[in-house]
Amino acid sequence: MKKLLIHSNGQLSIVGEGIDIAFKDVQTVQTDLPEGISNLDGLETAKEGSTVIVKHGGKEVAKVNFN
Amino acid sequence: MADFSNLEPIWSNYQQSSLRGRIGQRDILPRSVRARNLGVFIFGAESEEASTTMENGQQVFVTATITQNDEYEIFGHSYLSMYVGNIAVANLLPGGSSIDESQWDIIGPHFEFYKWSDTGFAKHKEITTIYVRNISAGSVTLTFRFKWRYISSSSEANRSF
Repeated sequence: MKKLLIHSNGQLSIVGEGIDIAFKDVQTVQTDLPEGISNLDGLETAKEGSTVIVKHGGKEVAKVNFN
Repeated sequence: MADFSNLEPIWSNYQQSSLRGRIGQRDILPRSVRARNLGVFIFGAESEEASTTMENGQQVFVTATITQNDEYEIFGHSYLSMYVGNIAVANLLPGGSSIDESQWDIIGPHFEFYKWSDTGFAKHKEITTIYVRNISAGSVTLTFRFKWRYISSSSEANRSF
């Protein structure tokens, strides 16, 4: 099952089983893929301080606080 | 003293056939001669993908792990292809016609293959690692596709990622 990785630098990754993507000097949180999303198309991120908000079609689908 | 002289000698199939001597060029070959090597094995492939967004100057480490269990043997190491954007031959990094390789730094892939269990059927794990740095390709999506080949004695893929 694919997973969504949210990186503290505001980047996103989608990974299949057994695969991990890490950015240098960046924190990463792994979450389930939001419903109806299978790739990175249409996903956007916004940073508010240390919080990364993931949006799809303008709607918030995930939020991670990297404190 | 026991006397078994009333019994016929027991001949095994092998002995019986050996009594006939060598098979001549014009003899009919015995039906029991069949190819038996690898007859019960299944050759297959596994595939997994990952993609990430990258900006100029960012660096990623990607690892892919496959773990072998009983009656499942990883066959060689993984095949890895990277694409800048969609999966298309023109987007292959390196080598795609729409790719400028001077915009990228790549180290690897490196393959680590080790035995994690010696009990009974030996089991292995393979970890593939690659480092990619986006020097000046701009804001892009990088897609990684890993493929593994395996040999198994059952139709069920006895592995874990």
